[in-house]
Amino acid sequence: MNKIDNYVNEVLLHIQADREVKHRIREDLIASLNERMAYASSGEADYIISSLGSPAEMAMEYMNNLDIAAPAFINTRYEDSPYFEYRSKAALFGIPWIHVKTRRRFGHRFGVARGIIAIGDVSIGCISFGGVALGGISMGGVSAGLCSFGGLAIAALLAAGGIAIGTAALGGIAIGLFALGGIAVGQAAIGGLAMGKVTYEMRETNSVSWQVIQELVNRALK
Amino acid sequence: MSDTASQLKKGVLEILVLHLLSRSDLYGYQLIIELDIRSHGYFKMKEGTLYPVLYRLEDSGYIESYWERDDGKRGVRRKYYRITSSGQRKIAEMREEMSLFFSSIKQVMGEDML
Repeated sequence: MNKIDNYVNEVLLHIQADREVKHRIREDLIASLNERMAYASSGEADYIISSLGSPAEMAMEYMNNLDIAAPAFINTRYEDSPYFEYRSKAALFGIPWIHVKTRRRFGHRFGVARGIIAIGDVSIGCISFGGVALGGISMGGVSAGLCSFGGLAIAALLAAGGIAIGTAALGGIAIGLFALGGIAVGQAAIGGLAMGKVTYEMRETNSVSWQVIQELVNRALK
Repeated sequence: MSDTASQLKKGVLEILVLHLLSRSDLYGYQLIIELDIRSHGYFKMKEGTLYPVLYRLEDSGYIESYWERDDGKRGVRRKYYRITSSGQRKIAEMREEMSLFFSSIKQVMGEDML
């Protein structure tokens, strides 16, 4: 990545706008800075960039002028539920350590956060929190990953939620290799209504001992 | 730059950009150069000021853009802007408004204006 790309990326980090607007700014700013390079007698990227001010200053100038374009860029209900984005400068292989993005009423589209730790309307990350959360450990209305927790949780390992689907599933409705829930479906299933190879129904007792769980799992795995 | 100068410039930028585009198609940096040279440095601006104006004009349908590759050895892609028929009508209307605006100011301020 060259110096101009780096500068433009820095500018965009400071601009609060949706993806389309940022894409438009990136494309035009890169083209214009390349033209500045061609016109300048020194042709030095450092010289051109320093003459434009810091990325934060350039971003501020954009934001001040984009604000005037209220119908195109700012929803009238902006103040009720503001667009918010934070992306940590520190990154791992280009992925920010922390990315937070919400855009409930901004541009009528979901804010998608992508980071090692991601928080957003939709979040994708090693640890993710959001309306829809995807990742290693995910928590959200709808969540999917290795370990998931949420209204609807789907996981490769552990799922817990209203409806949980996973190797080990705990929930109102639990479906998995090992399922524990109101309605449990699995190889080993424990619940009010249990269906599977080895089942334990808790119709009369409200509790189940750890011993019973171990025994069921052992029998299921045989 | 003073607040007054900044506000005055913002107010007329759309008109100036539309006016320049009514003469020929230009790309972003060309507009920056043209405004700078023609105003003897008074309208020296950066991308953060110009492009939002262009976006506004484009979104309003007064101008449109197209990409063209530079014929020179650099061969870079340039985004040109051209005025639309709606933009032509708009600039005519703006010129009339501006003329009325300045003549009204002159009537109020008289010789103090210069």
